[in-house]
Amino acid sequence: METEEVILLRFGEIALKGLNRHRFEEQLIRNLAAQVKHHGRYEIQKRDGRVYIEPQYSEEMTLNQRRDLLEFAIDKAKKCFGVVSLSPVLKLTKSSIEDLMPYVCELCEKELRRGRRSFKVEAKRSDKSYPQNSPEIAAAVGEMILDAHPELHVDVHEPDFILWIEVRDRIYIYSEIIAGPRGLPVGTSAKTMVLLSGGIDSPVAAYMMASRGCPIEAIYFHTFPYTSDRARDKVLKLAQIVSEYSGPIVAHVVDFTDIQLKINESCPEDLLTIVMRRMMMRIADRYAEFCNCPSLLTGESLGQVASQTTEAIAASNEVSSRPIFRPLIGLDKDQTIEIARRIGSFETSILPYEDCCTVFVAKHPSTRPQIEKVHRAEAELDIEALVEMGLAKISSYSVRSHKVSEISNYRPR
Amino acid sequence: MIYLDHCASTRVYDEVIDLVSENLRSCYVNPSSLYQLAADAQSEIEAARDFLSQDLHCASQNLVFTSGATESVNSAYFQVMHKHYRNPAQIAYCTGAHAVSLALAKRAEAEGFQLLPYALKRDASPDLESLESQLKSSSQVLLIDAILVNNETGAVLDLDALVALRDRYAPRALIHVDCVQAWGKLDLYLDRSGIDFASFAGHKIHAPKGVGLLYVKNPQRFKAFIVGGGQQHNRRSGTENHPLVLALAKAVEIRQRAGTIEAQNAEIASLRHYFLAGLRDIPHRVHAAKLQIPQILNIAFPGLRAETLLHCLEREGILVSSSSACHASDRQGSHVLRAMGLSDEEASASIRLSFSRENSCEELDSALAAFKRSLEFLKYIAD
Repeated sequence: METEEVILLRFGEIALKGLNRHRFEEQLIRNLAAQVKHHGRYEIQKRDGRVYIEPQYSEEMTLNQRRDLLEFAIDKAKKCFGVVSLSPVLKLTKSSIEDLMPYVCELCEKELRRGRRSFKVEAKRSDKSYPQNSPEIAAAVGEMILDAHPELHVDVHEPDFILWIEVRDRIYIYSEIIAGPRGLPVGTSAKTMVLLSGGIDSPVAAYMMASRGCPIEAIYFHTFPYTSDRARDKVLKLAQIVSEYSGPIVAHVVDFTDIQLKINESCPEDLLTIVMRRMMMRIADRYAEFCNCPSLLTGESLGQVASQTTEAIAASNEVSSRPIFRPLIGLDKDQTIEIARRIGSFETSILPYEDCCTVFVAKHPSTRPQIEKVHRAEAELDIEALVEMGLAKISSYSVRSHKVSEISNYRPR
Repeated sequence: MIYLDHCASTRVYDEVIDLVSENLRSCYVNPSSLYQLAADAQSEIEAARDFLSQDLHCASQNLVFTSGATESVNSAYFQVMHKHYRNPAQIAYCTGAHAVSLALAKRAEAEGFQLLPYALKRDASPDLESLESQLKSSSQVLLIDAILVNNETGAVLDLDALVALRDRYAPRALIHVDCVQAWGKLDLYLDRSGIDFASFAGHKIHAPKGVGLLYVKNPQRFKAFIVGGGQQHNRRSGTENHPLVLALAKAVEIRQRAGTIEAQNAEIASLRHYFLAGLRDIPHRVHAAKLQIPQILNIAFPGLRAETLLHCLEREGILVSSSSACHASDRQGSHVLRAMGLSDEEASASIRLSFSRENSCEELDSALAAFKRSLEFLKYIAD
């Protein structure tokens, strides 16, 4: 009998999307293909309203190479938005129940080793030409499992594991269901531009909006020598971690030093942060236009620091012509850290390189900036010239989960 | 590139590189094997041990080759922490010592030891009065940990005074001294010093990273920190690192060939004075002790952030260290400078230059010019 290990993916929200469902599924498949293609050969297929990833095993492959091919795809699928759950599945040619038993027992042994003791069998037959119907398959397989493994018992209400048998074009058996990241496939919403700082919050914010289907571009404001090149590399590394979930990111690094120094010269110290943030917003807003990003994205959380009060947020909204998404606005720091740990960005975020938010901070920043005062503080700045100065000094990087490279002469799609 | 960070690491001497690569190419046997080639390797290792013991004035059986100073210090603490884990007593350590001592003290505390921390005085030298009063009022001190030359300021510990304190108030206590920055910069007479353990690193003396020494006064009572194949008389298992052991001895030999330590220090002291003279017109503060090695110059530019200056200098090809902990979330600066009683702001304004004989006055001229340009750029001085 021919057997093959493949991966079965299930969708949630996509299924709710009515007539758009097709478009969402296509996008998900494209995203998955892009994430796995550099690693090996895979076929991604839609059958019976579900998606299968089929690693293309070859004769010469060792067992470890096969496992690696399968596990790499499982890992990527676990990070692919739109996937609600996935299962590694044994795909078998159609045969009698007796002939399936060695494979069924293999799965049971795996579950036994995990300490599982009770089970039930769920069978689904969509191929009506198969001799037994679903309840008959379940009963027969259940009985044979009990014969082979007396240490197992049946519990139809709260089993430790469920053994699934699906009779379709082939027979699929599996016992494991792994949670996916849910959300919408990246590319089903409009692109957004995240202001990455190098801290804990902004990568989490990018992750969260990617989970709503937004492709991500990133912008970072570099103030060498006040922030080191290592700080910039750290931001690119963070973008790379997010790209494991969001797919490729284009990251833009703005040389902000001269602008920062001009701000420092002419602004009262307590308004330094808010004026700096407004400058960054303006540049991001203008550059987002160029990059076809109809929204901006930040990791702000209400009240977390002086520049994240309602008044300060209003002051930075004033200078952006596009909506600014702030998915962390109602989270506290611990919740954000929990997500950062889960997605794997936390360890990088806390690397000790100063970022723009820590170097140029006043000792006593104004927490409730009055907008008139902010306008007055900016009066001496030639805003338009500074924005142009920023836009003129941007270098762009293509960030993929396996590679980062500088792009010369970036032209957005 | 002008390298003024010799306390962080040093250029491996060309002669040492040649020796190591030749050894890697032609003598890759395991020194513990039974054939003659291996026996030859073993005798080369022992010859290197002899040679190094002469440099440090001790017997060759007092020296254990390690992977570096971090391992050496860990092994020294292990002697006390292992033997007394059932009834932990007291460990005295310097809050201005290297991070490895601080981390080990913290671990000892977690295992129930009581810590007797002593800080640094305002001039960066260890506060032995504070240590004395702590030893006076304690009865179960097992280990006194100290650093001979402070790695951030260059302040030198009065070792005789420390040993005298031990002899008077805590005769049972063992003394470990971190000698990493002292090797080749001070004449060391370990035999006569009265200390029990001392740690050394190769890469601070122009040998490669990955090799170091632990001095053990009483090797019979030494409990191996790393066990395994029983190499080095079971004091430190692991295949002997033949090439790096030879490199360590060669680096010392090259330094000896170049003259006495006193003469070399005089040379470097004149570099230091030359540099300081060049900074005459720029407001700065030098953190130096009465007893001080000339190699390290810890210097503060009040109001500046050390990292910023460091990156400015880096752009000009001048490599220095900020002595600060370089931590974005805390702006406290170096723990050493804070142990001297400096404020967080003062501590984060300090950079560390460390000179060697490889530096020249011409290099310092370029460095001074780069300093001035950077300080102008940072608006610290008017252009």
